[in-house]
Amino acid sequence: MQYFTDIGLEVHVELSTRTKMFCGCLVVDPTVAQPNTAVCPVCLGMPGTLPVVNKQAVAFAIKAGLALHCQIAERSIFARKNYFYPDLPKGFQISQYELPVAFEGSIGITTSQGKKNIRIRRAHLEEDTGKLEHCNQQGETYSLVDLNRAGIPLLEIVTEPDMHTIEEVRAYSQELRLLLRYLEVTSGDMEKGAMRFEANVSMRPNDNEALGTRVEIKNLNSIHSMEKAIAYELERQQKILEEGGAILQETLGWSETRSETFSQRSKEEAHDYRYFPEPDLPPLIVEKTWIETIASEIPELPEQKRVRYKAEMSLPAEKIESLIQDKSVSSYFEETVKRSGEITANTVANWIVGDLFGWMNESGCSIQDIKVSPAELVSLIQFHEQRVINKNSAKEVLHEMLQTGKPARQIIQDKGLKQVSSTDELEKTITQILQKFPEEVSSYHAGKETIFNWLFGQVMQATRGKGDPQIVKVILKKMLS
Amino acid sequence: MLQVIAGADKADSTATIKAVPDYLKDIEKGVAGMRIGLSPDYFRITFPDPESGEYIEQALPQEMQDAVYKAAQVYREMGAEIIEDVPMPNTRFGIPIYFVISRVEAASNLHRFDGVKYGYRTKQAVTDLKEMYRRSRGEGFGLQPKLRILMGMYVSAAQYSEQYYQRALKARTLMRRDFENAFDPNGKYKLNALLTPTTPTTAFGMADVYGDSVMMQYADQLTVPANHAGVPGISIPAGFSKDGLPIGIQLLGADFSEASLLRIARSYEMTTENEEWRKKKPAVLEGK
Ligand SMILES: [Zn+2]
Repeated sequence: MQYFTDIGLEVHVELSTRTKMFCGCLVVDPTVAQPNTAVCPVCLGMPGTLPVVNKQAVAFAIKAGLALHCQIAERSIFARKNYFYPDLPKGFQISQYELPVAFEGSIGITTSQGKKNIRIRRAHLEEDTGKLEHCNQQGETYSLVDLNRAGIPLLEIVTEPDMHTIEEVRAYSQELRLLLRYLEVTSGDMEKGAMRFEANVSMRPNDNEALGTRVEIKNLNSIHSMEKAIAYELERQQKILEEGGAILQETLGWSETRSETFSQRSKEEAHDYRYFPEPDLPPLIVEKTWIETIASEIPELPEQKRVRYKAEMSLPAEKIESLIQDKSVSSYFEETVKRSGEITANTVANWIVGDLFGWMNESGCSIQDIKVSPAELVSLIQFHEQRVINKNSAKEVLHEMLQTGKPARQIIQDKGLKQVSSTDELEKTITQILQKFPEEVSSYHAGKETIFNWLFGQVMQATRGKGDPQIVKVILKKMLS
Repeated sequence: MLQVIAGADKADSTATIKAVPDYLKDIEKGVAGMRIGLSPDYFRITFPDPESGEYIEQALPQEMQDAVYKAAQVYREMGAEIIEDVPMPNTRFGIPIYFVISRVEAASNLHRFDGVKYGYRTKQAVTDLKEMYRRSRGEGFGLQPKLRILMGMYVSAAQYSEQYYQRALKARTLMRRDFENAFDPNGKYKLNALLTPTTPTTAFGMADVYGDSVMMQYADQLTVPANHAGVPGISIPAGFSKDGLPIGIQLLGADFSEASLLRIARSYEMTTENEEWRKKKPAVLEGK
């Protein structure tokens, strides 16, 4: 019997503010900065210090909340989440509990099963913890604490248990990341821990029954790890249920090396965080006009782009997806289309998704770094469309443009790549080829039609790729008959 | 001093950003036309009987009450209107609320003294993190903080929070409402200030020990309401008991009414300037 699965996610998103959530410390790249260099009395939790809310973080939270179709609380409350751990200098984390800044939203996702909405329960602001490094030197084990990360603003986005397959989990996570990157509220860089996941997973015999006992899988550092952890967990639960067993309500960890979940805490051992309102911070009041200003600054979002590219440019879905995955790519594409005149958006898309992406992969460049401006790309495409150069030459020219930043016209001139489309010249070359390969010509005449392409190839080679393939084909056919 | 410390503080989000008035400007302009209230709830203390849990009421010593009535008379003569019987029924929750909320905050504030970064760390060898925490905090804290931590942890625990901490917050809201009603400019009482004793008794004698009497345990009952409600208050000397111990009176006002509280207090000071008790020095200075 296949059990019905319910999955809810909690995603911790590091907001890309300049400074930390409750102090003026700069947010630094944790993989680069020396330990404990971006800290101050506030984020070190020194006695007597007081937190001050980072306005930019609130603005980012509101922006994300609005894009997730959430209601924005005009009054929300910071609360203390109390627990002991060496990466938590105050012994409590300032978070939001009963009244989060954003609540009751949704996000649309697309899977092989079609479109659906995932409900967002809430999104709240909190501060990140520090980082521990566990060391083992000559049999002596100890841990080092780096508090650079302590106090970096996080937005925790919590869904309802609306996902039922791993495909949906993936689609949700990717769409959420895309959306937040469009809003420029996070780098979304999972390798640097800018997005971390927790999954609540439960199973029930069918979707008419009440939700099953859920387990919580914590500390998942990438979408990929999360998928693996959930897959493992579903198999584990399915097996227990099939054997007539019961799922224990517990908190699980995920071991990447062993590829399995393991119990961290049972229900009985669950932390009591003793949440209570942070007495050092007044309620967070956000004015309607500020919310409206933030709403007006929200750019065109991925879903709106999908709809528009389809309606205005009739691009196929797959190509649209490639173009919108990075906001800079889509702006580059739009800039190019704006200048492209007669050239169709689809042609532009082909050049970008094909050759430009190829180059970006090969060189490790991002679209911002490439040396070819949208205008230059248009001029290259025009040279090809107007049959000044053939496809192969065009690719060659583009490659050189990308390497050197020279304009297309100059490269074509320098290399003498201009396409030969004069009939006289081509006829001369074709005559020579036909004379050179009489046997092949005979076998063509004897009915071996595939030889045509081989002869065509010989002609193109003779023109060193500069022959206009359309015209070559026409003349070759004519001369062979 | 208030003039200097009042106002916005960019390192303290709980400080108001309201403009700071000139507190001295009208300080000697008297109280004519002002409405000053008296509440029966400040002339008694109410506390739960340790045995039965029933609330017991106990009237304040007469000389404490007299000091307040005398001050009221002074104000009346200066042209203020004295409004009696202002109900402040939630005053009795002051101490219980304080015991709960302050303990919860104290326990949380003291979390940082965990031996990792701050405070004492046990010298004993430990096998794990939990033991390090337990020993460091166990050895490092004295009795009073331990009591506060234990009580704070207890009343904010998931299974008790509803009964204690959440109830304390609700009671605090009720207490706040008492003040809002008393000071509401469109309400029944329209007070400029509430006049009360500062403490249930005179200052304690030098040799008195904490816990000697119920009155002593509830010494803060009349001052904590202002802290819970977030309203300003001022305490000023108002004479001595027959035993020669000082008596204080308190003026409580609406949010941001510091200027008028200072003015009312200064009026009393000016009017009683030449009274005999003002010349008295503390007993310790007189070598008694
Ligand atoms: Zn800091």
